[in-house]
Amino acid sequence: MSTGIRASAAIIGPREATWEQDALVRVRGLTKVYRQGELEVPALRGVDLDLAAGEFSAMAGPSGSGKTTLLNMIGALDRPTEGWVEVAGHRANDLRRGEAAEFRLDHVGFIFQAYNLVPVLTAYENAEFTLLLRGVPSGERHRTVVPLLERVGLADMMNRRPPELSGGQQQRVAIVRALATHPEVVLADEPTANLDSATSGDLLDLMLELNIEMGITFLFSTHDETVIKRARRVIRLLDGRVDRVEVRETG
Amino acid sequence: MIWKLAWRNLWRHRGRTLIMGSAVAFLYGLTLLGLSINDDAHGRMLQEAIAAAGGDVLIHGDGYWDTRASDRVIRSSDSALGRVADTEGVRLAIPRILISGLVSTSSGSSSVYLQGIRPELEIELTDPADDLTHGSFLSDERTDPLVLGSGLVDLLELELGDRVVLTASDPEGELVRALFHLTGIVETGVRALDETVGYTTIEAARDAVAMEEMLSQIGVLAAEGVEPGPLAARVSAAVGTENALEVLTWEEAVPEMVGFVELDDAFGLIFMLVLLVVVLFSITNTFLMAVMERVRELGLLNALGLRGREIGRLLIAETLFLTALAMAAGLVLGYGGHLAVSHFGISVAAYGLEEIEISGVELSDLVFYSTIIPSRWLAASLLVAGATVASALYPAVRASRLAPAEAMRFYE
Amino acid sequence: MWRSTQTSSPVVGSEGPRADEIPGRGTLTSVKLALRNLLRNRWRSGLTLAAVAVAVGLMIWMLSLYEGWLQEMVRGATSVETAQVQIHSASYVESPRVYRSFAADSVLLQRILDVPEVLSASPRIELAGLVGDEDRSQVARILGVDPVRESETTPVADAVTAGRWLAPLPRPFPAAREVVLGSGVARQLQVGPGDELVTFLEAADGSLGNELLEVVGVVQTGNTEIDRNALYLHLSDAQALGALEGEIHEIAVRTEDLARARETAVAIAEAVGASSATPSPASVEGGLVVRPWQEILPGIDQMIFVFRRSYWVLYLLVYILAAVGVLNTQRMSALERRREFGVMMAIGMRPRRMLRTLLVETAVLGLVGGAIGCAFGTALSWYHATSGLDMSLLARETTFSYMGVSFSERLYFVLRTGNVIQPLAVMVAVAVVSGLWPAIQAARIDPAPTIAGRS
Ligand SMILES: Nc1ncnc2c1ncn2[C@@H]1O[C@H](COP(=O)(O)OP(=O)(O)OP(=O)(O)O)[C@@H](O)[C@H]1O
Ligand SMILES: [Mg+2]
Repeated sequence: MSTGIRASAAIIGPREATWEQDALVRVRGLTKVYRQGELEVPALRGVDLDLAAGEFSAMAGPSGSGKTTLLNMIGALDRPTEGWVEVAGHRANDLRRGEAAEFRLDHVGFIFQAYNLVPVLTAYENAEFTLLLRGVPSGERHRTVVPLLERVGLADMMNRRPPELSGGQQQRVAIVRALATHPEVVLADEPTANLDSATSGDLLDLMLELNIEMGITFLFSTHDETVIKRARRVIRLLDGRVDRVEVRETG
Repeated sequence: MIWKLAWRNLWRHRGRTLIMGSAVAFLYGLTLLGLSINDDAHGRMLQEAIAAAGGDVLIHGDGYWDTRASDRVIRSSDSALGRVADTEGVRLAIPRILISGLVSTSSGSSSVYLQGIRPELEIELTDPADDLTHGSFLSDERTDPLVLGSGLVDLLELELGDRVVLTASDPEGELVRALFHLTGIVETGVRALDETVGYTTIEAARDAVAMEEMLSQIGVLAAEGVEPGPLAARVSAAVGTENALEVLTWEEAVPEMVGFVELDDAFGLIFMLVLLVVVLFSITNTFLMAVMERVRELGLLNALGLRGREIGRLLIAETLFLTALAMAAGLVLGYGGHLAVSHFGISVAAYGLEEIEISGVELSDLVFYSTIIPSRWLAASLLVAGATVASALYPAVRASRLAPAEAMRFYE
Repeated sequence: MWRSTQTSSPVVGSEGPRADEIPGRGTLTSVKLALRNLLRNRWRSGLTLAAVAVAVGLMIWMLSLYEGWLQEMVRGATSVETAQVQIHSASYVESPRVYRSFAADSVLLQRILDVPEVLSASPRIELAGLVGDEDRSQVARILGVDPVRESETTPVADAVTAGRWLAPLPRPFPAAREVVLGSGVARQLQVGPGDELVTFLEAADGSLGNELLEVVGVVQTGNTEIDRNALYLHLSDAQALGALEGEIHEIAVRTEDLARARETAVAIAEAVGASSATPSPASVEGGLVVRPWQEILPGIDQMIFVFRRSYWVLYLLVYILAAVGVLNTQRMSALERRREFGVMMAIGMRPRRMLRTLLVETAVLGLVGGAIGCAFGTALSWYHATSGLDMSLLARETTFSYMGVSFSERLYFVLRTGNVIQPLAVMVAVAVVSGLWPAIQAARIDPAPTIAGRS
């Protein structure tokens, strides 16, 4: 099993890889150097990565290896120093602030570790927020969001505000919000870091189901074995580079 | 230690300190400036009122001031004048004959308020000769000189040297006519005044209306530091009761002006108090925020050995610092404004308003200047300081007594 | 809000759009978001609202006070003495002389009355003379009027405090002529209804006029010029006294609208073929001049101008302090919500929309606070407009005159719609402007480091 993974990692390894023509997310030569006064902190040192549509991938690596940075680049939350990112054929780098926001709204769904939700809005209102930003009429928002909320098991909690929800419930609302716009890819930066392992497992199972049901691509960053266990592909980062990629069958 | 921490905290939240401080400074500075501009204007109004009345204390025949009746005169005036002049606290007693009559020429007649005066004494109150534009002010050899306001001169189409007939009633009720020669023209800048005012010598006036040995008014000027109230009482005692005279302080003579100034002051105070309330709301708000932050930091401060009461003290120290800094800035602002206004003046005339009449007192030359009355500045300072500290103290004291969790709820 | 029942079917939408059954529900607008955010911290919003409300209320109250003051001044100055429009001969306007009169022409009067905005007109004669009895005499402004027309044109008949107003027709000779005195003249002469007086004056032809008068009434109009000096006499008596048979000095006109006096003056001038402007000294020759009160009493007009100008100073003082409050609140609240803003922008909210949402929040703050301020400011001003402000609470002596108009005890405020709406509108604008800086700061947030807690 482990040798198999290594083998496939070698095939899809950074340099010699043959690029998948239909890759949904394409990352090429991505470099990011943060400047802290005189000091230059290299966060990414040339990352190449392809993500096929419908993938359910996890990104793992030690703290400071560049996971968050890479996700931010893919989600157009940050600009690369060098290289480029493409999501479904749309460039994610070199966008102006407004364009970047629009890009995120149209192509990417986000789930963060914490403080995901707007505290003054109810679960339902948080879930429909991205649709609202897109200018979707209320009836249609309702038709989209309610089934999703029911699907994630929050049918009875739609009118609760975030402080009245558990961490897991809050993350479910965030999932619905990310999925409501049917983005090309959902980026989740350590979505389970604040949850206990049982809740983490449930949440991951739910995402996996949704991945299968809706065909939406997921990319996580994580330290959590429960997440890594469920991923179909695991991208290992080390010191700002893709160290290796493990592919495996999951049930 | 607490003071040092408070001082540091002020600078740590520089933006907040600046905004709150500027609000207090702005309000305080404006209050001071507004106060001194108002006080200057009111002071000048009252000064004008004293001049218009004729002195700090006035003596007339009983009931004259109210009725202006030509038969209510001061008889045996020489002895009265002498006794008044000898009264303690009297700087000067100015005798006057006041005649309300008609002046006529070949081209018509008009009403006049003619004052028979001793110019050399009037100078001590205000010098009417300051307004002279043509001729001389009762200083030539003529025995029937007349100085008239420019408006009156225009109305009657007069020239210097022209003959003018005065018609008025004498103390016995007889209509008398007297001849004068125009020797001077004054222009005060106040239209209503220029159309009615006239001056002659006291002798000529006495001749005209048969008031030998009589006077209409004695204007009393108080010596330095003598209040008009007590002076009026002494003067009243000096002239005795047998002559049937009235003795009025200038405040009694022009009560309406005093009332107006009081009213204007009261409106100013209302305005300032309400503004203070507006500022206090923002200050309370900011300090509540500061308290909340502090409650969140409580764990840390506790670890450093700071207890609830000490946190309260810390906040109070911060408040005192902030208030002191802001008020220092406000003082600079207010004093700078005062210097600027008292130097340059704010002219209302620029907007076309040239004169205002308040209760018969005409105010012209409408330029606002500024005068500091220290006691009023002190009162305003205490008020602002007290209110600011109080509005910040309440949240500080209240929150420092609460447990952190409770305090959060108190604010949210 | 609606409550969804748990259904096994994932497709609820097929049952029909529930949100549409309750329109608006579940819809998240910027306003709603703003309200929620303001309700989040009640203390903070409450104090800010209070500051805004007090500022707006104070403005409305002050403006109504000033308007009441101005209106009282205009009314006091115009109603009795000048009325709203006056007609004189051009030379009289230049410099009033007894002989600069014009013919009291009934056709002329009718033409004036036919002008639509004109309510009534009163021809007058004005003479300066001495009046008195055997004890004393006093200078007076002798006004010859048609008692009926004068009382239609000015409220003088309502101002009678003793006796009565002049009878419509003069008494047959040789009875003493009827006169009504201003209260000040009556007090100075110490006479009242029934007392006899003698007048003495110079007539238009230079002769000395002399007449026996009987006081029938005393008026107190609130106009110090009238109260201190006026002596009302029947028009024909005054004409006889001044040797001005068939002549008058002025026609005072009452119009519908005080504020439109200028336009009405022009209309009257056109109707009678007169000039409607104050003549320059060069063009004094003949003809009539029609002038609105603003030209006759330029001091009052300027006073109004200066007062209204000074409103902006008030706005500046009051609203800068309120703006500091709003600015502070919004800045603190924006700081507190940085993370939240970061998330919102990360999931696709454009900076521009962020800005707009926050500005709506300040606008709501200004609007709600302003509305509260409007409510109590208007209520208080309304109270003072109907019952008057008791000035004796503020000063010991409250009967003073200002620009020739007596004020006493109570000052009645004037509440104008514009002076309610303007403070509110300006406040909303000020709130939005002072919310601009915090809002721009928030819109500039870089979402990535904010979410990571790095900024
Ligand atoms: N805005 C920034 N300024 C300076 N340095 C940064 C910044 N963002 C990230 N870094 C640095 O870049 C490197 C990569 O950081 P990144 O957050 O991507 O790590 P990570 O893999 O997500 O770590 P963790 O597992 O702890 O979340 C780190 O060394 C970090 O200190
Ligand atoms: Mg990370």
